[in-house]
Amino acid sequence: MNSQLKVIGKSILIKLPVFLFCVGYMSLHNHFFGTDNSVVGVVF
Amino acid sequence: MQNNMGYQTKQATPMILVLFLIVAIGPKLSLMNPYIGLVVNVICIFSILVLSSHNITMSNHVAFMMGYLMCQGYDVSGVIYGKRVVSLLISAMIVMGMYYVMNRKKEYKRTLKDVFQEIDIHSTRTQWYIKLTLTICMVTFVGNLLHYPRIMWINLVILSLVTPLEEEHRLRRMSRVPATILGAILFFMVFEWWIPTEYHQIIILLAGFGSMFITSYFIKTIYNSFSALIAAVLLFSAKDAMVLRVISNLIGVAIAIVSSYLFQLFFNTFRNVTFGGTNHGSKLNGEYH
Repeated sequence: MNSQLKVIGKSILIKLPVFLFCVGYMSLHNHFFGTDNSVVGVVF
Repeated sequence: MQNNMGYQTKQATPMILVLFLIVAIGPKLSLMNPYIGLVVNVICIFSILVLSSHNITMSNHVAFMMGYLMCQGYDVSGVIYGKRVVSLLISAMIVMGMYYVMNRKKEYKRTLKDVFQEIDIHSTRTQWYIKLTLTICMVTFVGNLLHYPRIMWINLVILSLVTPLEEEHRLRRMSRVPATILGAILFFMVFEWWIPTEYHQIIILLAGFGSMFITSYFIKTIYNSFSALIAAVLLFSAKDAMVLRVISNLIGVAIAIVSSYLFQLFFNTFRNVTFGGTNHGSKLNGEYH
């Protein structure tokens, strides 16, 4: 059980910075290029 | 990061810029009128597939095709279109830089010229290029003539279902509609019944994070349905968006099945006429690097 939790925790910690980067990137993208162009940010 | 285009890095890197330019210019040109759009779409979509998808196992075409279809679906004009082009060019520069750094030391024998020379109607790859290009272009053409409100949704279903490998195609089309309906129901329950409006942004962020762990096509389709509906409620009421999403998926699945059947029939007939029934066709030519 503990090892399973460790694996889950590890995978969350690995993906969290990527996710935070995506959120930050999308916010900046929307700020500079407008929310109408958010599709480009999503594709990137 | 590990993706490659299957041909020499020095030639593949500038082709990324060409692909982004197609995404920037093609959708705008295609929306001038349905007839010009048909020609523009055929040229642009076929070019995207040839340039990005020689190594079909990498599915490089997905990002560019999604970009193309989404830019077509969410058209903008004036200053905002200018910003879209700038944004795509900046994205292209970043992707080119990353691609070159990651692939500069890898040796690929194949050149861009080889990629074009390997276009052969008897190969599975080229048959898939033709099938996907013509299906999406015809759907867009007919959809524009009929003023269907969300052609993009039908096209994204076709992009997802018309794959080079028949087995993958079969498994995907079986789960597409039930997963879409589940996603739509989940969306309706979460946004209309369970969660108050002030928490919607948090749910969208959590759903986005959760999507990073999804590997199953069925669950991914539920998520896609959910997130597409979030975007669609800006244009439609939640109920209309749900109905439209489910109908678009049903149409997309039906078209993908019929198109696969008809094209397979055509390619088989063509092979029999050309080779008199021998099995020279259905090959994935030149898998060397």
